[in-house]
Amino acid sequence: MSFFPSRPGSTSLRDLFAMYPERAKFLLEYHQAVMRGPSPLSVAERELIFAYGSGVNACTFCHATHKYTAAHLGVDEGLFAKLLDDIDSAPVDARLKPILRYVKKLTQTPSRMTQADADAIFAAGWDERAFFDVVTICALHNYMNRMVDGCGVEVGEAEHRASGDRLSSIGYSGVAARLPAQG
Amino acid sequence: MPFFRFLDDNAGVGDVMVHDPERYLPIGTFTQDLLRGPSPFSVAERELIAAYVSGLNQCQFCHGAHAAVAADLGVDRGLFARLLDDVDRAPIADRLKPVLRYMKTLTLAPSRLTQADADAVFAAGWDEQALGDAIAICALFNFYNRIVEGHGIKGTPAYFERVKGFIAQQGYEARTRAALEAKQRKST
Repeated sequence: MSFFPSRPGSTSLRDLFAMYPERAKFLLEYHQAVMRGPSPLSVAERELIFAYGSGVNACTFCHATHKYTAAHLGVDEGLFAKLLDDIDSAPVDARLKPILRYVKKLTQTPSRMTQADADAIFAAGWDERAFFDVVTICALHNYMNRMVDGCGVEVGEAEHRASGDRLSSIGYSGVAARLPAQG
Repeated sequence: MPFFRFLDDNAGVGDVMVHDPERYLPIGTFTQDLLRGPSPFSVAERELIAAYVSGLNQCQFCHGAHAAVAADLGVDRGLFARLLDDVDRAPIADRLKPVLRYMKTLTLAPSRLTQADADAVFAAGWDEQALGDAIAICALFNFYNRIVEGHGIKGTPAYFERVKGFIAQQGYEARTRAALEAKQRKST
């Protein structure tokens, strides 16, 4: 499904990027820096955060794509349903729990963040740079979730898995390099 | 008070961007293009959408800054409270109403949008590019609202008055570009 009459049938993110090649270039460059550049958070942890936050927004496309990307990087696929149900009891590294709680709250009620929410991340041993990256990833998935659901992007499970294969191997810059040349 | 040591009480989102200009320059360029480049929406309409979305998220900083920018472009300041209360009854052009309803659902319950919501925008006379631009502005401000709130940035009315002049003169990209160039000069 797509909400755009000129693109009937199933719309993929690639179709959306093709409609806006210039924007796609800047966005994918930003994704590459945030999700693959230097960070105290591992690539797997960053993909886990992106997938989890997208799940909080009930964005099927982003949640599934990043869940499979994280799975390629060693994260248990079954973890996400447990995290979305209850972070406290989910079998995830205790250091990630205050980060995931922050992402959930920043996604659902952004204006309510407090110093105590931030301090819980520092108390788990993370530094300011890690926290900076957490905020960025959360803001970014909130962007992408709305681009995808706002345009009616919807593809099947096989395409979610294929996207996870691509993002875990060639990254966002690799996806950008495969976009059609701009006319 | 921001949650980060590199930000002080007078910090704005620009201070986050220049903290890591390599990372943020693409976003600055994207923002400039989306809010000031060619679009079926006027600059004032785009600032109105940015301020409205930020108001829905109760992001005092982005709402305050973009409402101030929109007011300078001729948008009535009192309009925002009425839009946030009820789009249907607010004194605004009818053709903007389905767009703003779309923005509201996309901000508060993004997975719930339907073809009927999009069709209402098209029926008001907007084309696909307009809907695509509105979606991108909404998504981008949902991004900025969380960058701002996630860092603990709140802003003040005095700040919003200052920043609107800065935005009018410099736009959304120049400061981050200058910071990146300064950093690159330093490292060579």
